[in-house]
Amino acid sequence: MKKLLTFFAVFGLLLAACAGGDSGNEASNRASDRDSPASDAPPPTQPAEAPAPDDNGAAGDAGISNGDDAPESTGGGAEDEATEDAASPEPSDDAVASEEVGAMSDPIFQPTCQGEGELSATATGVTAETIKVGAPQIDYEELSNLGLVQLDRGDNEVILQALAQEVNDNGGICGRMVETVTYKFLPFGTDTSLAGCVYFTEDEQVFAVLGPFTRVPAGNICVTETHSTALLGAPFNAEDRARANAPWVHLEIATDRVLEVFVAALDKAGLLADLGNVAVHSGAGRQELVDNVLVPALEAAGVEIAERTVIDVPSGDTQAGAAVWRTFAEIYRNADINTVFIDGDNVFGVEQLIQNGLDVKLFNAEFSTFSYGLGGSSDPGYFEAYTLGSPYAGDDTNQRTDDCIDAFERQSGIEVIPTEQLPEDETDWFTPVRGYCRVFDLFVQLAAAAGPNLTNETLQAAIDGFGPIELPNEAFASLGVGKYDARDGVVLMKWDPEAGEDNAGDFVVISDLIDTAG
Amino acid sequence: MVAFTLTSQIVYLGVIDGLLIGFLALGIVLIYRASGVINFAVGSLGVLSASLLALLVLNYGWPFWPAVIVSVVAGGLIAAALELTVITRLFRAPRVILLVATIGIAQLCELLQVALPDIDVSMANRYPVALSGRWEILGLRVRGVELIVIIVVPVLTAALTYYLQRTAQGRAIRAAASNPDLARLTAISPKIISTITWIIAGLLAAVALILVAGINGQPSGFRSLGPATLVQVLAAALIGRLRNFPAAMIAGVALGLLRSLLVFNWPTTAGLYDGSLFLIVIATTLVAGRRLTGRDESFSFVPTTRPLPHAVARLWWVRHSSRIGIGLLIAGAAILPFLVTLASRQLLFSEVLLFALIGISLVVLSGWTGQISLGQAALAGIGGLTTAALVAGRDIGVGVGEASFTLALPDIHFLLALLVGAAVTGAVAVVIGLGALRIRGFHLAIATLALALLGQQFLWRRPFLSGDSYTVSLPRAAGPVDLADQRTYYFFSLIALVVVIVLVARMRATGVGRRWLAVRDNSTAASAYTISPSRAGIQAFVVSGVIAGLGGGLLAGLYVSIGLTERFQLQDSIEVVAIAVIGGAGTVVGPILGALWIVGLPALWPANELVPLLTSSVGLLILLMYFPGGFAQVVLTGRDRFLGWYAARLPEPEPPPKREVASVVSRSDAVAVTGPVLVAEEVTVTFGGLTAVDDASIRVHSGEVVGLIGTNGAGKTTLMNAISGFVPCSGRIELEGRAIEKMAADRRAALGLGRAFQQSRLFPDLTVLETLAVAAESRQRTSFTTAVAHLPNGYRRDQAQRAHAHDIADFLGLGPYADKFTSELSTGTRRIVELGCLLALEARVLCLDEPTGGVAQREVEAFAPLLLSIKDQLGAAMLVIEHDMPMIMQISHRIYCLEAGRVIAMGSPAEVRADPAVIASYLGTDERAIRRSGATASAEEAHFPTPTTVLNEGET
Repeated sequence: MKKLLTFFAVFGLLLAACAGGDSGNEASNRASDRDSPASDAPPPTQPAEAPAPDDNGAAGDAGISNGDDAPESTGGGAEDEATEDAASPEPSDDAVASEEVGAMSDPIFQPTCQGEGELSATATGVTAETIKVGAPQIDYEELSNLGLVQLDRGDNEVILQALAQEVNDNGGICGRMVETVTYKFLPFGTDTSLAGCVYFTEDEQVFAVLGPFTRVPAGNICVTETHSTALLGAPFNAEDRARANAPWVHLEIATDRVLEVFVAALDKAGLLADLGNVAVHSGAGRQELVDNVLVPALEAAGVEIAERTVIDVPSGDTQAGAAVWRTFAEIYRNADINTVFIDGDNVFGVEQLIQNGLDVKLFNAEFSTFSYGLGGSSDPGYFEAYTLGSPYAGDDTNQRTDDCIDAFERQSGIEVIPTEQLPEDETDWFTPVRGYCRVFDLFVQLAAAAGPNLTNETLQAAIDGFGPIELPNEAFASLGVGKYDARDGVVLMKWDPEAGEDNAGDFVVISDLIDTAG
Repeated sequence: MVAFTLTSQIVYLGVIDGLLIGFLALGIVLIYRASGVINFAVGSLGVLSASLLALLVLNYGWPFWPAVIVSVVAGGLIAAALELTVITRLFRAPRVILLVATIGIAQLCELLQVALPDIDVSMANRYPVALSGRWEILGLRVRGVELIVIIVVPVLTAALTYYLQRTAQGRAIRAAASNPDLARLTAISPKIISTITWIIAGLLAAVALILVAGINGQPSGFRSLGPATLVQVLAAALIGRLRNFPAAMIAGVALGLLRSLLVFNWPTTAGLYDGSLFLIVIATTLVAGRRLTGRDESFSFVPTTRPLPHAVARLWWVRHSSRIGIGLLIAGAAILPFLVTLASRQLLFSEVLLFALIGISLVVLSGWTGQISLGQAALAGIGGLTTAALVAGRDIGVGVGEASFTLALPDIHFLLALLVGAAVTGAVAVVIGLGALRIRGFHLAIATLALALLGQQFLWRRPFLSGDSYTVSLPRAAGPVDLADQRTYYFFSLIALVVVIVLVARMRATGVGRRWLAVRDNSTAASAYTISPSRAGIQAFVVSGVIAGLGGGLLAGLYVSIGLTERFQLQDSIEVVAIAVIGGAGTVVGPILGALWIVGLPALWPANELVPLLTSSVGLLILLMYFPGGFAQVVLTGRDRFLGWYAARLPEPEPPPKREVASVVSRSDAVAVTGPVLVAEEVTVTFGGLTAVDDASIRVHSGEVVGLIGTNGAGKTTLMNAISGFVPCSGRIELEGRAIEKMAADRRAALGLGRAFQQSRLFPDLTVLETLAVAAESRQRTSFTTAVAHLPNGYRRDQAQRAHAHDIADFLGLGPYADKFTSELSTGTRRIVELGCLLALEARVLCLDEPTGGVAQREVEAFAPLLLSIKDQLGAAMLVIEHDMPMIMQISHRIYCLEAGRVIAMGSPAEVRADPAVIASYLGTDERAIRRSGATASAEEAHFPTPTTVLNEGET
């Protein structure tokens, strides 16, 4: 239904564009071109930029993140755990079509301004000469001081300035130069993220915030709802998006839609047949979401839910969590459950299923935490388990990512070495550069599509009318009315206890590249 | 009708879970029995051992059993080390401080565990256990590690019980727990006992956590017991009355079973068990409260603001030094946003102010009433989320099932919503406090910890509070002032903080504040002066709740977007405690300093490497060890030293003129009583299986002095306690013809039953004048409402109360001591203050327990005339326990002699003195003792000087 609505909305925009044709509608024009049946034909130019997972890449941890969308992420989370054993997916026919449509994007950081007009101060953070954007960055130094994480990922300010410089060297966005500011925050608690939100929106008065306040939804809500400022590259669900008073775009799949996508992909792959008795499990915080999205999606796919369980112990209370899971195991055993759909990060319970000898098939759309839960269990080979992922894993890059990294190296003079090849004690520039490439490219393309009269409204119109979009490390992506989460290209993955680093187990791709928008 | 389904496997799983809960509860009970403190590090102590076992076996290839032994012993050694470095140093500190220290120890253990090497899971990813495998036994699926739990837990529980009940060391632990001073006299060092107890607790925790880790299966990722488990463990210990090992174990098993039952039958009802646990904790404190007895000790948080030296007390700047200090802080706070203009910084400054405000809620509760709450952030959450709900005008569901309905609430302005939210929080505090505050001890801490868990696990998700969202919005509505601006909101927060400081400081200065401190310092004595400790506690908790609720509303307004999984969490409550303790919970300035430290430092210097250390558990522990009164102690000590130094340089001021006061009793409500004014008929008091008072009957007639004599342990004090209402008894007790045996002690005191205690500890942190004013509360009660609202008649009453206290002090010659703390007085002077309290109380029957106890013999002779003079002033009857035979024989009209709880003789002093049973039982056959008991004249023949001539300045 959503796709149908999206189609009608885009169709309406197409009609409007055909009737109009003034500069303000050029973004719509462009979108309609790319969504039209004619766009199925291979484009004559830039075929090399189509995303093509390399032979080594694919699985690793390129999963679908539901809340860990740091700029440095390519959509998964624990990139460092990527493996070389995972198989690459073969793009499906639909995929090929979308890839080719995606190739319509401008070369990275060389945006074509959609429309003409005199430049002026059109919105907060936008002057005749400049556009100011803010980017939150995780404070690894403070995390290190707290003894939590020892990571050296460079100064993200350098990355942003280099990328901005590349855009500015190419004429900026519709003639406006891009200015960047960053704010360091901690990915727990909300104090630093709220302060960061206020810093960007009140102190610096940026036009848009690029990248999320990772793991701190309130920080993102502060930007979009309280301060009516655009936020690009941050996760949301339908409720968050509905509350936003400004454009909000996610690079990956929305935290609720991912459940539908997962079920659809499983259905398409025939993995929902013969599941036996099925249980659905979630945390209390997402109980309603799972009841309203996952359960109906499964039922619509012909899966009958025999048991539903909800865990409500505080995170970190291993003892209480394990005790409750042991009872769940007994519930599953009594109901002869063969399959359990586990939502979110409630994966530590898999150990209790093992301990209690419950042999079930597991499904979870959260690639990274699921991988962590299975790999950390006492018997990694115990379960047959499936998840959803992105075709880009580990250090995988597509051409657009490579172009972005080249631009960074050119502007900063810093050599970027893939994380897996990085000598010890060297700064890992690769991970953050790749992350900022994604969100910065997204912004540049959208802002250019919004035209010279850059406001929240024109940016929203550009998003609504964009259609397929080419992004670093995205196989297929698109934006449109009601579709503000970009990723379309996903793969199904199956747990292989022998795969991965030290053969400690990892997910491997088992499906063709799936275009969920197709 | 609710239908349960239960399988034998679910019962089995519940029992296994419950055994572990119960086993951990034993650790709580053990430490509480030995040192009267709840050990929040009960699980964390064992975490290191559990990790060590995995390390030794998996990383270093040790055989299992040697590794187990080393790990368990390490648990004991770690506990010993912590005891010797932290607990010993705080041995004399109030238990509240010690409790907070255990929270710091818990966090320290977790930090240490993180510092351990990573466990190598390449060889095996299963936690090492003594017995692996899985079998089907009697239809149950049983794992090897579960069998170990079934065997080890009951065996160790029995061994521990045996150790405490039957061994000399165990009895020593119990003796040290019940009376450290007495234990010391019997050559048992409470410090050694404490160390032994902590070692045992460490060993228990090590075994418990190794079992828990074995049950859970995975070797890594186990850092500590989470809050849900901790609340379960505390609830089990509470049900076991914090004393009874078998009861705590049974309660643990019952709770484990309950969880299995609830989860099995309602697997989708989130929060059901946490809600049940909360209700169980509240119900336990309500139902079992009467049977629970707390330790009668001061719960005072140091520091106390000392009276000013006389030489400088009249200097304006000295008298107002506290106000000047606070004023400077406020002035600095007012200037700050003009110096730092970034809105993002001003947001953090506001947060510091509002955490300070919430910290002040703990000053009222902990600093002044001696209770500790571990759920202040939950109360703040109730206030904050209620404020948001009211601003949004959300509907509220009332009732359950078909009997429910929805109440549509109008959306109201932010400012009004703030006040309503605070009031709602105050009401919640009443519900929680009703049970938990009826008893001394840490029951409120457990109840509020359960509330904190309930909040984050259940309450915040209720539709009314959450609006069916996980991030609640609270727009700061524009009204007369646009609060949307960060600087404006900062000033709004500052004004709120200043108003709360002024109101709370004023309240402290009224009779209500004095009542709180009296209850904190000595709840028994407070009861004797008509103050209900539970009522005072509830009043303080309500005020505390209202402040926390207001702070929560303001915080919610500051955040605007309130993440329900991020705000008002249990760790925030612990942070509030840390703010109060680090700053100094005894003064309103303390939380400001604490908030600057805990919230301000990390916010303002995030990149500083020292800041995480200083604000962490390590910083908390170090500060507690050296400055248990927090930063306020440092400041006040500095101030006192400076003023002392300055005063020494000034000429000694002229002493105030001596005031002669002829009478201090103005009672006009005397009841004419023809019969006895006090009747105790067939009174029996039992403690467990021991009968302390056995069918004793005594009568005291109007104006009469009745002596109560007997050997130590004869039951005299117990009988007097029964009469006064401090121990439950059977039998009949009448005061002026009115049955009072069902009444609480404070009610009996209000009817005119005065009581002076053997220990005469009074209120260590109150001055003599304040102590007398506390007693004067009986006749000139400061209304709580008046004090809260700061109404003019409250001020007038306060002035009158102070004047009356001055009169009594002058009447007894206590003028020079008026501003001294009672803890600074000699025993004799303190006893005179206690008698002054009886005057203030205007008691009709005086029950005096060894009024000359601890007084130098040369002063004892002055006491008898003083007692009679006070009796005459009051026109009261007197029941006196006294071992000084000449004195008791001299002042008494009649004497009762008790032996083994029974009255063995009654009559005039001469009759009792000659009674063979008394001679055999008490006086002995020593002729000198008998002669001495009759060596002086009886009361009728005595002539005594007036009180003011008894005590001269400098004398006791």
